Amino acid sequence: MESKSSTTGNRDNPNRNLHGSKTMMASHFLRALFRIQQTSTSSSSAGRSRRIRRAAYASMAYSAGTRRAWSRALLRKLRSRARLRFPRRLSRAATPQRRDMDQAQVLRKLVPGGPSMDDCKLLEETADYIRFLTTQVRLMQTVMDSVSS
Amino acid sequence: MDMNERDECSSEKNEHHLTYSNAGFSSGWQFRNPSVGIVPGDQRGSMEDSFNPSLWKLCESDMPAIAKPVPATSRFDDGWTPSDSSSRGGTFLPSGPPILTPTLSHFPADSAFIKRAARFSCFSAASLGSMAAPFGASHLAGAQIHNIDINMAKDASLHDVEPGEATVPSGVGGGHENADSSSKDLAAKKRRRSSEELEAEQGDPQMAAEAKTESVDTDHKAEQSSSTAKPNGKHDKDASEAPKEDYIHVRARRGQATNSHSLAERVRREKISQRMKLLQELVPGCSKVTGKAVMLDEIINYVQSLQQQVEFLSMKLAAVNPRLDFNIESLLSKDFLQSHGGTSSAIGFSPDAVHPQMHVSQQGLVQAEISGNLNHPNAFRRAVNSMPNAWDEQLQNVMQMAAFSSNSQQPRTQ
Repeated sequence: MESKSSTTGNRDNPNRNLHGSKTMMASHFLRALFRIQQTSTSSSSAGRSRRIRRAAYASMAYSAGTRRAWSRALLRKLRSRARLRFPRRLSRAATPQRRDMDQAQVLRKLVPGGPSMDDCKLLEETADYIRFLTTQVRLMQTVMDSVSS
Repeated sequence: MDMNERDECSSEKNEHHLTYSNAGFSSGWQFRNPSVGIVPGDQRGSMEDSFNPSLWKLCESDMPAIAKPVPATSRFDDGWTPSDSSSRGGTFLPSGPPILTPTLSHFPADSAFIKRAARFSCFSAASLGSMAAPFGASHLAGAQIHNIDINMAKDASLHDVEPGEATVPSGVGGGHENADSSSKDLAAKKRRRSSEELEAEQGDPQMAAEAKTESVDTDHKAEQSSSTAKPNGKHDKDASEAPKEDYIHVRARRGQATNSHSLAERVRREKISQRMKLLQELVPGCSKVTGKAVMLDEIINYVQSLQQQVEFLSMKLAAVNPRLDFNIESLLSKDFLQSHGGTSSAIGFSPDAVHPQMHVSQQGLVQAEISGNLNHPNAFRRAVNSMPNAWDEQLQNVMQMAAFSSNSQQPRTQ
């Protein structure tokens, strides 16, 4: 798994993998969106947004499959029905002290499944996670645009 | 992480600390490794960074103050190292020998241990030439043991010894550990092998094998040295000679071990730099950023910003959700999925899906959805009819089947 994308086919392999996953991500997410729309018209916007967020991560994880450690960890988290909490407070990034030592630690907190990875794997998983995250964000933006237009 | 401090402060002289920590600082990243036993080098590196300033102060301040007993109740890490450094400081206590005989009694008459003691006599700066050997051996042995027996060392420090024998607690503790180590030689060897095997997995198998053979060759002379050299060598990535100086009092033949270890470590660095390049391409605006720390900061910021965007968009989608209908499908198929090239469409029921995993899970998803709550047949038909593209035929099929099945079901109230 680690040697595949690290050699020559840097751009090719991951993109090819990602492309197939994109359709899956889109379909999963759209269906989830639809479901959420149906079932929670009466609930609050916050609850719905939480569900949508969960659906976003779920579609990311499903499209990534079980190939990746982060997607496995994410799937585990989703299946356990735990509150999907992600550290997104700016305060954590706003402390630029303790740079060198905590960088890996901070990254481990961000990437799902992070705490149980060594540095090499952490970087690899981060790269993959970033790819899927960007795809998901773009997907959501497209949905947003198409809905609001 | 007592072993880390023992590693660092087991040098005899103070400048070893300086060179050692210098090398550590110059090595760039110091990731902390969560898994304790697997990649000891990184762990030590990070620990070294964190503890080095305090270690400097402690070691330097305690150099003259050997008579200070080891503070048993204080933070054990800090308490340990000064005693180590003081014991290492070349000012061995003249009262050492009479004290050491009881400590020696702890040691099993291990042949390997005796060999080690003979080797370590090379650093007999003080009168305790051969007597000091157990210190070195014990400390290094203790250093290499991952599950450090803090309790044992604590007991050692709590021993009722005179202030003049401040080194004894460390010695005794080290002695205990050495007893354990000599009895756990196999375990230590296995640990070293396993970490080397891990190197083999990650890096060049040849190099790891070399490291293994090297350590086997230098086994009896530097059994602990190679294992402790390796983690130290691992985070002294650039300066392989600095750790050599660090341990010069212990082992004479460090050059070989360091070379193989630094080679293996260099392979790891190569891998990490490769991955950093990958990440550089992914994170926008990072092509000109050089330096791992800055790069990592950028990466962290980017991931955080992406996650924030997900949250933000989900909030917005929740707000506009009621207007959601399946025109989205068509628009999406045009904008989103198309912008990344044509697809061979692994969506839907195509049995010749490119990715088998996706195929299976997609089918599962689709079936789940269809048996679930797909509604709005009109929307479906609209979406289906508005899809112009080639791959969308399959999507159309999906939607049609969804529409049919949802037609047959009782639509839920909106």
